[in-house]
Amino acid sequence: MGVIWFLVGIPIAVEVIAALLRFRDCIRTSGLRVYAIEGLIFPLFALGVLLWLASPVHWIAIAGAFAVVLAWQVLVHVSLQVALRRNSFHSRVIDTDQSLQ
Amino acid sequence: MNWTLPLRDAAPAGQALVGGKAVRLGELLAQDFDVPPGFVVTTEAFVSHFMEAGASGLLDGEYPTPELLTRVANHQMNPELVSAIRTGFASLSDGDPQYLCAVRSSGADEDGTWASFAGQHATYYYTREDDLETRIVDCWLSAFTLEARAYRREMGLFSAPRMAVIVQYMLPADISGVTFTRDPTGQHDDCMVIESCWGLGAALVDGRVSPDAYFVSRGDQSLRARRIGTKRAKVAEALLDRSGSRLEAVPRHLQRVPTLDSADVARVAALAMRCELAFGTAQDVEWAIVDGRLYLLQSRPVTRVASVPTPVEGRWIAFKPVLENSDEPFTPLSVDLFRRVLSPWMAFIDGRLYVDYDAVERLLPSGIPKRTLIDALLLRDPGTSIGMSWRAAPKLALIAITAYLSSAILFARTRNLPRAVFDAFRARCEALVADANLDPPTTLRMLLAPHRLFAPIGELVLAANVSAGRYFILTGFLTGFLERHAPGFDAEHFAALTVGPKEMASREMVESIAQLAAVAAEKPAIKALILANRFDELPHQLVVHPDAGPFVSALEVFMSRFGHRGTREIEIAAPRWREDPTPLFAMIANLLGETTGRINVIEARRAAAQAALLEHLPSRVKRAFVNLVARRIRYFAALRENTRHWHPLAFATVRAKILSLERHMMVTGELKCADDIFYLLWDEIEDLSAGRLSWRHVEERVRNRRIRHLRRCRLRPPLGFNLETDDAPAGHVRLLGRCASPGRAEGRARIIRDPAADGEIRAGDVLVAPYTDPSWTPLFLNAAAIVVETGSYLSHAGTVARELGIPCVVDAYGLLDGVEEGQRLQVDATAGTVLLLDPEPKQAALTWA
Repeated sequence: MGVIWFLVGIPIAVEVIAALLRFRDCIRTSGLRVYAIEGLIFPLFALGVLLWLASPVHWIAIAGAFAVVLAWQVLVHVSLQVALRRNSFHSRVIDTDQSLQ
Repeated sequence: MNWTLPLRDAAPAGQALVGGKAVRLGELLAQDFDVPPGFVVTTEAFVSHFMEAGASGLLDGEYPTPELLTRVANHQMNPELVSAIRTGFASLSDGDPQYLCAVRSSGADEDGTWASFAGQHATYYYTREDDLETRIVDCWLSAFTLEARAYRREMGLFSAPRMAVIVQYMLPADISGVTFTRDPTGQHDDCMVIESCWGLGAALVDGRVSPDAYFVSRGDQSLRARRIGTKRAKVAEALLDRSGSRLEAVPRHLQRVPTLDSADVARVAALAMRCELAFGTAQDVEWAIVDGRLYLLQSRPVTRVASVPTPVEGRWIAFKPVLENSDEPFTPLSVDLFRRVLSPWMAFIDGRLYVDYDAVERLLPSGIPKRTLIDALLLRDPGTSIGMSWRAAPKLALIAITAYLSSAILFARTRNLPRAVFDAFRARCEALVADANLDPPTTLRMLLAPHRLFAPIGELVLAANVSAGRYFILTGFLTGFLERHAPGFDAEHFAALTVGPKEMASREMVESIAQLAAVAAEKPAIKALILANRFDELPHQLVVHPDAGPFVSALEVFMSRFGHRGTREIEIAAPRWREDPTPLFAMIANLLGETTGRINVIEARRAAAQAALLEHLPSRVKRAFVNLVARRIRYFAALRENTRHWHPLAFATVRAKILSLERHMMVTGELKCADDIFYLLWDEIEDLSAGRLSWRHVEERVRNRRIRHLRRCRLRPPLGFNLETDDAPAGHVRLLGRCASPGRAEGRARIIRDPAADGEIRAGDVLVAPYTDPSWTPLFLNAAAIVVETGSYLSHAGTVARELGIPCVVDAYGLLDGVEEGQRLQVDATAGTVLLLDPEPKQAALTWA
């Protein structure tokens, strides 16, 4: 049963994190507070319903879903930054015309 | 001692005394070719000067240390030699103190049939009498440069160099060029190739200008084909300021004008054939035209033949999102910067971006047909559904989960955003420009890749742009839904239903240019100034004109929003409108003429589409669903265009840093010519700045890279390597492409290869282009239809054409070889076909590398 709550928790976690980020992005731009709040309501509502339906025991599974989503983001970001800074992430350059090298 | 000889007497003196070039010029003079007069400073003078300077070791092959070379450069020239040079000069100048001459090297082993030394030794133009001795010594020393010594070794010349110098009347050339009496690429043995440019030919030989090319039959010397280049620069006539740029801009109205008419081509071809007959082998002939008179400057055997291209390993497919914005190759610096932020699955092949097909195929589940995958990667509608076996399900699930975890938050973040959030990108770019500690590669990386976890979306325009591509999927879905539930609802109404909202950057840019035209039209004097088609002078004229105030103010407002845009804006070497507004003026002039008023019909088209939907889809629920999906499509289409508006600012930011560096390096003498920096790699620029390299170390590299870049520009980019990409040339009468915006139209073909150079289009013409990027958009307003050689449904051409309701055909390969300027075309964009209504038998299409 915990697996199901975990699997349901993943898209909810994605939506909630995205909604919070969208809220931050929008609230920074003056005059867009209403816009930002509208985008926040549905994901938070969905999260509330999820927590209400789940038992406190399964809240750990939902928290795990949040942790996995966040951890994955951190992993991807750090890998990309390390690769870019070490210059190990780059495309090749191929010249078919060698006459003017 | 024989210090000097008249050029006319050079041939009998022999190559050891006067050098190969002088011998050949002497032979040509003896045969009454029109060669500018001159005299030769012999190799005996060279030897004498080196011995007197205490550098005789250099004559015996000793390593040319900086001390030895400095000693030669600083040694006072023998008075007898100086006297002989001045006497020779007086015989040319008739005592005119303003007389200018060219000082050209003539190596003793130069211009043989196997070692041309082309570009290896120095030549100095516009030299005055006072500078003669210095320039002659400079020519001598050019035999000892790193590049010249490397060339000698490569050619198996192990003896020490001997150098004569030709002092010749400096022709104030109106037009110059090079003629190869046989195609040096070996592709067209029956053709001569003539290349020409405005002014001196040095710009052409150095690869600094894209020349006109004329292909002339060797048999009857008839013109087989011609390709008019965009000659943006020419050698400056005043080269006395050594710190300045050696190039000057060609007035815009001359850039796309053919340098030679048919009579000139015939004269030049005849001259070249005379040279070939005189020497008995294929010749590489340099010539110039002054006041209508044709002069011969040099004739030497064709020594360099393009090598057979090295085969590319692996299978590669063009990266279409970039190709459809510009099919020209990137300059070496752009390649070097971009490769640092692009995936290892990508490669720049001959300056163009490709994706590793094998890697993509390995990643995806097996079972996807090769043809389907190629079409998908080329952003074409595969046409068939993708069959998938159950065995592929686990791999597919793994890919889906990974993709979801990696990108779902981004996709959700961009699902519903106000446009203003992306204004943050401008502030970020300005901050990065202001940070002097950031170099261009780091700046580019910080602008294109997320620099911190969950950075504000306004700073992630590239990621947001990619996420907006989902409207293609929604469009496919809605098309299928309507085909099933409302079969009578046609493609044109569908396009009108899904065009973006009014707040799209591309649409606003068009409207802003139309407003600029309207402001200009209010003042007849300003309108006349713009329509005079002297756009190079226009900025200066506007500054002093009493009526220009409103237009200049409107222009400043426009530049503050769109000044970072321009032609080929992905290319970091390409100037932006803020730097060079002449293309913008051309577009305004275009709109000051006849216009179609197309912007105003968009809302009417959408209303008509809604009416048609009501008629063909009576169910209110289904209609509401269609409108819901259409709204989403409109939102994502706008998001894609609006984020695309900001990408060029990233490239403009990196360009600003590079230009700042270039200015500094020009002042310090580390660079000699504007734009050369774009033909260096970043590590080389760092080495130049740090003093680890000097200009003479990189000069030859720059020259070679420029020439190679020009050659690549002339080649049509292959869509794939070791793949069948279905890009066969089009037929003579009917061209097949793909629909990007439905509709039908008929009109005269207006071929535009470069909106910066030829930006005029009459109302009702069919715009024919190799590709389009946003800088082409204002041209769309007058076009009856658009046909592009490289594009896709998602491309800029397709998106904006749908916005404006213009029929648009994309992916019409071979288009520019098949269609003539002014030819009448019937475009059926719905079917993706272009009919050539008055086809004329066109000569076999020629390509030249």
